[in-house]
Amino acid sequence: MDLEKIAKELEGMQTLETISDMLKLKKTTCLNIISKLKKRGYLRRTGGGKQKRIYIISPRVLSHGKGMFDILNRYSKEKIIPPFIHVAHSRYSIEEAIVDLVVLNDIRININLLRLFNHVKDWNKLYLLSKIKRVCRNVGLLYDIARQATKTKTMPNNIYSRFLKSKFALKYKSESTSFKELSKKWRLKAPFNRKDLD
Amino acid sequence: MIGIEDQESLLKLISRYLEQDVICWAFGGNAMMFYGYKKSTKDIDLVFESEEDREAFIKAIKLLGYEKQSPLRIYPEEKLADKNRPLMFSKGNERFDLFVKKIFRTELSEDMKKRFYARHDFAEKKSLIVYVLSKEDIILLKSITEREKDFDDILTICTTEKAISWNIIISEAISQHKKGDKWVLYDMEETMSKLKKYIFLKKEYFERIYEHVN
Repeated sequence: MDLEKIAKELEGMQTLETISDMLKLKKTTCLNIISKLKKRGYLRRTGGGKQKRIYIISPRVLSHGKGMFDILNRYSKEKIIPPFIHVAHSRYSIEEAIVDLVVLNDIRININLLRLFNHVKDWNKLYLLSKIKRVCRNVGLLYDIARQATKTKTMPNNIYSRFLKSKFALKYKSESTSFKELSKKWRLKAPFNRKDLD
Repeated sequence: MIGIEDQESLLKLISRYLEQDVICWAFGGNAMMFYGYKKSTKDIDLVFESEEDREAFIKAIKLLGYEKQSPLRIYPEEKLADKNRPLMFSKGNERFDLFVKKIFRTELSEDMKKRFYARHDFAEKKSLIVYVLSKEDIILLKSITEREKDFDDILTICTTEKAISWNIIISEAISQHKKGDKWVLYDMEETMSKLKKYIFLKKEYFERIYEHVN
């Protein structure tokens, strides 16, 4: 079976039904082919569970691993089209994803990453990574906004105060006048308006 | 020769031997593999932002058995006299060509950094972050390196990829020329003239180059 040829034929987004139609094969046979394409790196899948499973197929080998945008899209309500491909070939945690996403300084990404704070496991790690990338107060401000906007885990007080005292902050490309109290507290203007969260 | 999966495993292994975090930019056959244009490559071309990063990387690959190799007969002679020539390390059939800030006289510009296509993180003991340059910048830099198979690689990109912005390539070449790279426009013109036999290239692209050469 020439998997590259099949991947070329099926290039793009497909469902099990469209693959079955295009290859004129039974669905069970197609599932077998899907599994082989995935193993060779020609296929990635999205959805599953209640959502319809969609297969992204390319004759070029798609890199393995997950990246910051996979993590973001897994937890956020709106799905973001990544501005670039990011693949982490080794361990890559939510904490690393939050910090890397904040550094991108993109309004839509900032709004969507709020939900990630509910999945943070190691707050100390989040602080240390933020310090390395010099975005401590940005992360702190977004955490406080997340607390107001969505269900969010509580950060331990000692780490919260380290975020608050930090001298490191990245100036946002877009600045809003919303969240006045939080802006004053964090000495940093919010990157989006309260309305943007609706 | 090294394939995509082996390359990823190798970079992961290197990150295990690094003594500090390293950031680099891929632009050769290895970058083409990340795009999926190629299945294997002989040379892994990387450009680092600092000498310190390159040294850390070299230390790690030496521990893995890579040995310094002479760039003679691989790059054209006139390019080898340049102070920004690469340090080369090889083991068996694989070779690393390691540059710092500049690929000969062409610098890794801020625009090139902004245009990158992908970011690959290899984090074991320390992290190795490899940014893959855009296809336009790969074409430009492969025109400069002028090795045996570089033109074939450019041709592969041009025939596989429909949307190549030649305006970006030429603007970058002109910008590099203005910064003092006297070769870049000649190298680019030579590549484009060869490419003309295989793909359609607008006359205005050549005219933009000639305008700045004269």
